[in-house]
Amino acid sequence: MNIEGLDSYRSNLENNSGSWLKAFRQRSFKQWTEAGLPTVKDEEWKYTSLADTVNHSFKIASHHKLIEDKQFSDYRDKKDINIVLVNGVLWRGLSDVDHLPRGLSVFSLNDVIVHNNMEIQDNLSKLTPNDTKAFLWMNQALFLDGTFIQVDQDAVIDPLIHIIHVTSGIGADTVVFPRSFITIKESAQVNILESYVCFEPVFYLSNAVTDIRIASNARVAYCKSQSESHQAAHIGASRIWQDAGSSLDSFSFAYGGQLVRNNFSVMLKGEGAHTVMNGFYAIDGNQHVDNHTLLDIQQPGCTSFQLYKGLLSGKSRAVFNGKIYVHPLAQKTDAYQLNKHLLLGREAHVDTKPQLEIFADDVKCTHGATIGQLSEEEIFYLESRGINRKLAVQLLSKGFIDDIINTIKNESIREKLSRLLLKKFPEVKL
Amino acid sequence: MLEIKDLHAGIEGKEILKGINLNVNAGEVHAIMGPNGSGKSTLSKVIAGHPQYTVTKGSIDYEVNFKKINLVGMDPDLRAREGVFMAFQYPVEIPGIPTSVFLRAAFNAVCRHQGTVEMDPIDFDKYMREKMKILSMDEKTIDRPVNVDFSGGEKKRNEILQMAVLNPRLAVLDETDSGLDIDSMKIVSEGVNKLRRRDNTIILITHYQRLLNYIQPDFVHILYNGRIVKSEGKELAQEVENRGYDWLIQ
Repeated sequence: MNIEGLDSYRSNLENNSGSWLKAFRQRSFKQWTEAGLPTVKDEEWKYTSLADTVNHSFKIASHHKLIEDKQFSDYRDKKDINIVLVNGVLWRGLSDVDHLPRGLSVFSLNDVIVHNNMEIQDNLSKLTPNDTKAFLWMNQALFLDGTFIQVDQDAVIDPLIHIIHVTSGIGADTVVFPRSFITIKESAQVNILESYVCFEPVFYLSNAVTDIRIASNARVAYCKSQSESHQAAHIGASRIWQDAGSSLDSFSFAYGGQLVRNNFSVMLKGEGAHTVMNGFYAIDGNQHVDNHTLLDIQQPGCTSFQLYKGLLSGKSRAVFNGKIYVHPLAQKTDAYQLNKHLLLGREAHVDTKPQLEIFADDVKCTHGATIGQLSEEEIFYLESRGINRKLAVQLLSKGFIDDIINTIKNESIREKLSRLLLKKFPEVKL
Repeated sequence: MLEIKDLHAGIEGKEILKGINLNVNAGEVHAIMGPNGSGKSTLSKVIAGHPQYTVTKGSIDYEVNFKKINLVGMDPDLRAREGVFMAFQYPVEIPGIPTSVFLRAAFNAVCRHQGTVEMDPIDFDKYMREKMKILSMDEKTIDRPVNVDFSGGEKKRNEILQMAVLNPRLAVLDETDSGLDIDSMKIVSEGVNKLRRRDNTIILITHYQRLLNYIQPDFVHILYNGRIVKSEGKELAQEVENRGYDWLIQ
């Protein structure tokens, strides 16, 4: 992978970083270049080849202005607290940062790191067993800015916080490094949607990292909605740490992009934490979406529920690798995992792999995976009531979608995802 | 209304119906009884147009509004829009589609075809709830996905609800009594009786005589080894209850 003008970009960046950040960037750069990018020979990348994606001469986005697009207004809902980042940099003009509810703060990530925030420094250096290290290190070496969000102890933030990463005004072969850091303090409650969007039909690479720390007894809903341009590549890491008694209701939505890799990891490091880790990928054409999820259960009495569904048409391909790791201490774990696919395209393809590694003896873990086309029995049932085959297929596909979308409790998130789905699969509009 | 002539049909090359002849007039209720494996369910599926079954010989003439059509070779959805209905022995579960959405889609498809006015969601909701009362159904049923996590009794009631909503001219009820307790059977039977009219026809397919205590048929036919071996009035059902099927077969 070649990046034009890398040396001058780096020295510029490092000279504008504080001493801690400068050292951190230099160390990350060294680690990245030494590690090299993964190939299909790596077990974790067996079904996803990066060869075509990285074989470009990339340019780093050099400006951070939003090219206004009508479609953007679809994303920016007045009811929500919008936080807009353009090519990785917080854009205050479009963000609702001046009238935040009590208990919520939003900053540019750079500003916070410069002030030597220990929590961030500590967290930025962390690795999880599910990280693709080379991309994480690349992001750390080269990210320009990002957003820092804090929800204070006991705060209840009612409106949806919508972080919108827009890639805008770029030429072909641009690379961007979106980065977010969210910290939710004890017993706080918040709903967050993080969207990745671009309305320009060019190839670019988005190497995105989001870190979320959830303190004890906090209740959090987090949804990642990836709707990059259809020509783009998105390599993303969502890394979430949960303390005791906290509750996370998460959803990962993969919609755009030519090649997409999501590493979604939740580390349960406190007793009795609860996690919902659901996801939906709705793809067509030649799209390739690879979801690698990890539930790392370190303490006793944790519960988790995971349902990932895929709707594939055309020649699209999906990879699902769902790892649940139960540490020896984590007795009384109750973990459920299910991965279901509906193949609408004859040439669509799925590789799915549940991976349970259990080192405690008193646990309940179940998993399953299905890949199928629409059931002829279901179609006949609808036909036998006068519904023609075309409408029967529409109803059944919509049923498959609604079944997973309706697990999202936040209405504002559900509406936004449903709107996107109708755009891509207008045939399910009834 | 229905005239089946020398009907031969089967599945995967195996012949199950071996020459069925049956005449059914408007306003009549016919019961088709027979031991397991005699071809009862095949007959209902062939009338409804299940794609797995192939008709190799014969015809199913169906007359509606002075128009005679041969159902053989017709798509199942078109048959349904022409007024043919089958209540499934094993109703299919459909996750993600609320029962009300399903019923309205079906109702409007039939209305469009028959040239009557479609209903808007509010009027349809009222219409549907009236029909649900006939079957003493829980109001919440219609918000739940079709048949998903329904009990055996709820599934069968849902079949008859669909019949009530779609108002077919020819209804074939395939073992609607199987898996029903006595209370549910009474409710389902009363529902069916309320749907009996001079201009429609009901064919009850059943293994036991029990259902016929509640829905009195005009004729009873015994199906054995793919053929109708005996046709009489309703007394025949009682005789089968007393004597079994063996004496009919020899």
